[in-house]
Amino acid sequence: MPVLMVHDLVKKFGTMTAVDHVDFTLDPGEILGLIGQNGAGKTTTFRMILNFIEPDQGQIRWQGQPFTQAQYNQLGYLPEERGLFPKMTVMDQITYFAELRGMKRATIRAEVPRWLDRFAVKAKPTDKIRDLSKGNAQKVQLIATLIHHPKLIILDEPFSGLDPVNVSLLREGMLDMKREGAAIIYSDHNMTNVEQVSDQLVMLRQGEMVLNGTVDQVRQQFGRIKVYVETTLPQEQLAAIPGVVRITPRRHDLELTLADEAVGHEVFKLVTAQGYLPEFSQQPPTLEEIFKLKAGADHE
Amino acid sequence: MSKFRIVFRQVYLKNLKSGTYIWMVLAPLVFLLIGGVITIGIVKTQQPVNVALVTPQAELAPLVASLPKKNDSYQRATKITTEAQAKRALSRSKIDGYAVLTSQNNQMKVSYVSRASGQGLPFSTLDAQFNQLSLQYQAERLQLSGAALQTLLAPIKTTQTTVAFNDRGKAEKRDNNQQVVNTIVATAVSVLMMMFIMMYAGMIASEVAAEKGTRIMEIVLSSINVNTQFIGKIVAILALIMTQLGVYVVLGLVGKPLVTHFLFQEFPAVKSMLSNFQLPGLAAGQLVLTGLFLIVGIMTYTVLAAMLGSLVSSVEQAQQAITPLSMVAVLAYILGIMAGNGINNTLIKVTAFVPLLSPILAPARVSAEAMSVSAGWLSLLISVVVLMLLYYVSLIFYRANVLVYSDSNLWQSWRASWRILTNRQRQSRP
Repeated sequence: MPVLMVHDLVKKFGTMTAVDHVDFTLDPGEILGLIGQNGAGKTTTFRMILNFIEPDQGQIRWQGQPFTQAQYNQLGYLPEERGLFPKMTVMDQITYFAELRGMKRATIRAEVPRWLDRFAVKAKPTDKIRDLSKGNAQKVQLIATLIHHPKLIILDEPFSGLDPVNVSLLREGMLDMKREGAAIIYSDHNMTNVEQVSDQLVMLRQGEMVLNGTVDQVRQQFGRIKVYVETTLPQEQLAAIPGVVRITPRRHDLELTLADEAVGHEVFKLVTAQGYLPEFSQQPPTLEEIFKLKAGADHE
Repeated sequence: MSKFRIVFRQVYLKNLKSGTYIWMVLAPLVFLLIGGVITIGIVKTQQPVNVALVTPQAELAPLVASLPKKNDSYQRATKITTEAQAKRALSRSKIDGYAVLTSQNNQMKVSYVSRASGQGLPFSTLDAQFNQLSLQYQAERLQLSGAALQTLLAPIKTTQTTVAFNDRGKAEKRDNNQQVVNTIVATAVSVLMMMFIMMYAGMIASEVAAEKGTRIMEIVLSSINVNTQFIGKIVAILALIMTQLGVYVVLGLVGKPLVTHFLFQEFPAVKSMLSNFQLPGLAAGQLVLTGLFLIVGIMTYTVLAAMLGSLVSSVEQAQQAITPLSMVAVLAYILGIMAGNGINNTLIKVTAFVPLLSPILAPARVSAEAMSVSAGWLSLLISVVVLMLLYYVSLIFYRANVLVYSDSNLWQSWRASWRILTNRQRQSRP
């Protein structure tokens, strides 16, 4: 049974539709990346899942049941804007949030040092939150989100503001929780992270769901419309092939965008006519490209 | 541990350790201490008025000598017996003034001379003594008998009685200075009530606005039901008030014998002065009533402040959010001060029963003995009922506002939350 089922979710604020008929399910041990531009409806979707705001239409089910207080302890939530009590110590802050999730005080106190090590937090449990760097405070908040081993984890832009080292620490943390069987839903603007971590992704545009599926499924939907080729042929000759939409020179090769993946055969024929070719690769577009393509449709 | 207790403990301990709370508890004690030290300092450094009483006429010398050497008003410089000596002593600031007694055609005459920079002479005391002396002098001159002299010297007997009526309409005796004491107690009650109410209201509004502004609220409310969180905060504030009152009760019980022992032994004048006063606020019933009004008053303002704090999106806006509440508290304070000063018009009488105003006004009126204790209890009952209603109204608005962020002003936020509420009600209808 899915941990989370979101069905036909709609939320309007006045005349603006923030979330428009959104559907997805999330199984145990699965990570779902929710992508979309700012204002696409990601946070509103999270707030409805968390029961902060009521949907105008649709259903949200936790393990087949409506959300009740019984599920509070099985949830881990990291909001987009981080918030901690500056005057509290690291230990007291994590203890407060973890106790609210039903953990025993003694267990929390015993586990905190291990979690601080795991996320390489450069702080002692007795340090005040206000004395921590932004990155370390962010990691403390992440620990408070995960320490009670929740079954459903909601992370609103968890990578934002982290340096590459901490990004990989967080990525590892998410994969560890996934291995423990937690279902994770998170939002992000970095498509490399999404591609590396997510089992499935949902893209929202102006509240509407424009993409849904596994990363491979989403990429394959667009076909192998990208060709990367290293050739001495003049660009004009390649551009003359019907179906070549655009040619973008890169450092060592050319990137060709095709109208259809079948055009790849014509390109291959032309560039191999003279014999040896160091590079020819035909691929679906990257998530980054798909994101830009889909988000760009707003402005057309 | 239940989630209510976790929120309660967090709010209670966080505020208990805060500088604002510690100052609020200590402030009245600090002011009392400063006032006490200044009073003792004044009493200690105050010297009696030094006065020389002289006469150039030898036949009057025994009479002058018979006057008391020292009393509450002055101290006589007995070594000075002539006007010349007195003048010299005055010029050297050894005395504050002198009186020259003369007699011409059997009529006594007194001339006072005092130094402008010295302490003022107690003219009324000296006049009374010289009048007495004059009567004695005339009686001796007219050779009146001892009994006749006694009759002549006997002053008119006067008694003064001021009464206050208790709940059963029975008159209770009051001294003349009671009005002053009542005003002081009623003003002190108004000032302290106002101070505590505003500090606790500010505390809860900042608490809510800070948690909302830092998004801690979102984490907390994804872990706990909003009703549990609200009541946890409100009960924690109640516990802080009880702690504060507890500190005063303990300090009062421990400190009173020490202070009175020290004070009365060192300064017997203070003891005799205090014995003239009846402190109305110290009657057990009135004290309990005032304490309960304090709790109910603070709680009423606290639940409203929590609701107003939930309307804004950052701690910086918290004080602005509670401005309407502050204005009501200031109005209650002004009315309380008016009541303490003996104003007893219809406005004051009616508003002493109006919740939000009554927690300051009613105890002030009871302290001023303008309102009976039983009327005070009735006013308290009305306040308690309204507090319960306001609690539920505040909770409903808090639930609607606390996770809604808006850059608009307070009034627009209020309207937005009203829209959310009415939408919810419409949706919940079948």
